[in-house]
Amino acid sequence: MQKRWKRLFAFFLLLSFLLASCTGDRQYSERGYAMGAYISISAWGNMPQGLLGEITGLENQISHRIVDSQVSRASRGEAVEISAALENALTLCGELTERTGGRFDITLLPVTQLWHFDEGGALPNGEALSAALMQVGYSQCVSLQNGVLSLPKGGLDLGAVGKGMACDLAISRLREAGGHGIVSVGGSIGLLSGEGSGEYRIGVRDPFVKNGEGILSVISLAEGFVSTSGSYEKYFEAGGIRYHHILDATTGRPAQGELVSVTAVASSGALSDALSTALFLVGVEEGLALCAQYGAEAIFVSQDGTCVATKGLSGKLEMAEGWEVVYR
Amino acid sequence: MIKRLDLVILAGALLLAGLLGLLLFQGEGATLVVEINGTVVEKISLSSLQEETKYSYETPSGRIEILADREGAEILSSGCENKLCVKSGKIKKNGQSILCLPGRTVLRLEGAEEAPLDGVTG
Repeated sequence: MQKRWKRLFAFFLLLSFLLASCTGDRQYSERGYAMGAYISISAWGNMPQGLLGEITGLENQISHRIVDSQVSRASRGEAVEISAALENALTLCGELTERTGGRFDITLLPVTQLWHFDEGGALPNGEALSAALMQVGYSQCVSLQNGVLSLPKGGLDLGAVGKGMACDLAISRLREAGGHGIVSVGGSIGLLSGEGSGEYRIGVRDPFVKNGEGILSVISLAEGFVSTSGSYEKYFEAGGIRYHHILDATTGRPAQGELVSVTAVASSGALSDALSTALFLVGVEEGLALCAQYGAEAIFVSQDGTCVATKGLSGKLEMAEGWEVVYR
Repeated sequence: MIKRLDLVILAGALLLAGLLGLLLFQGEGATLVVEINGTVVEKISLSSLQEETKYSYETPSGRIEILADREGAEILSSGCENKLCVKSGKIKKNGQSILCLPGRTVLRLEGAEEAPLDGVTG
């Protein structure tokens, strides 16, 4: 009888081991708000402590909405020592300004402030817009030397790159901690692979379906960064015309191209974030060339419902019913 | 030598493990998760609601009122300025969510049929 109980005990021990092994790596998750966005972090294996606080710390450095941020201080005429991450992001943005013929420009702050998109949006006065445009231009506004930033005029709006920078920060901390997982800051996503993580499945929002209820495609990626810019995200209507928030810095007005959304896949969050806006501004043809320059991939969705993706995404996209993609 | 009683015990243990597994991992109906400031403040099993039910929470942008029934949930009123969350309408499918950024509030439908996505961009 005693032997029988021993066998039973051994069986349950084995069963416990089997059940325990089914759960795999321990999963951690953290959610919160920073950078005006909902942040979600899911990690396996290990999770660095205080990640949300670090992202808020980054926001405190780079947001023009925060009075003492490095960017705000620079716009008040101070020469400010900035972090390497900010320096890299600014350099990237300056390069994108050049490569987009000035349509992408983070010195657009005097103009974006006139549109009041944060408060629901309003049409700016034409004269005020012209005057504000005189304050815009990366090459004349940004002076960056040995990690010191000064702004002879104007101000910086890092809305096109900030969420991607936050993804970079979080993924880098996750890598240092020896974990792997997925970080989502607003619509920007960072993916880090690890043992047994396989490929992550990222849904790309259907720009024609209200309330974010539809997915046009699912991208399968083991690692990388994904960001989307769309004219449906923030807009207002006046006089029967819809004004969206992606402004062309050469006109100070919403981009008039054929696109409704662009999703960029790149090797860094800052690049995917900034690139998605830049690609939206330049359109499909120039956008494909821009992707090639950065070794990035993209999905372009036009107002007529056509969808073009870079060839590198071939085999990685699962299109939703009713959607077709042309790889170029 | 394995005796007949051993086999009976083994079969019983397997049955017990199976039942436990079913209890632990079986799918549930949709659950409405209410999250404020990054903290889950309430989980409501929609299948348990007998009628339309109102819930009210204090958020960083004032009071928010939610209407839930067995079908889904919506935000009826919010203290935020832009009311985008109220305009979002009703969520009915697992995986859908309503976000009120000023109120730092998320309403999310979770359940067994949730789309197997790790994230959504856009």
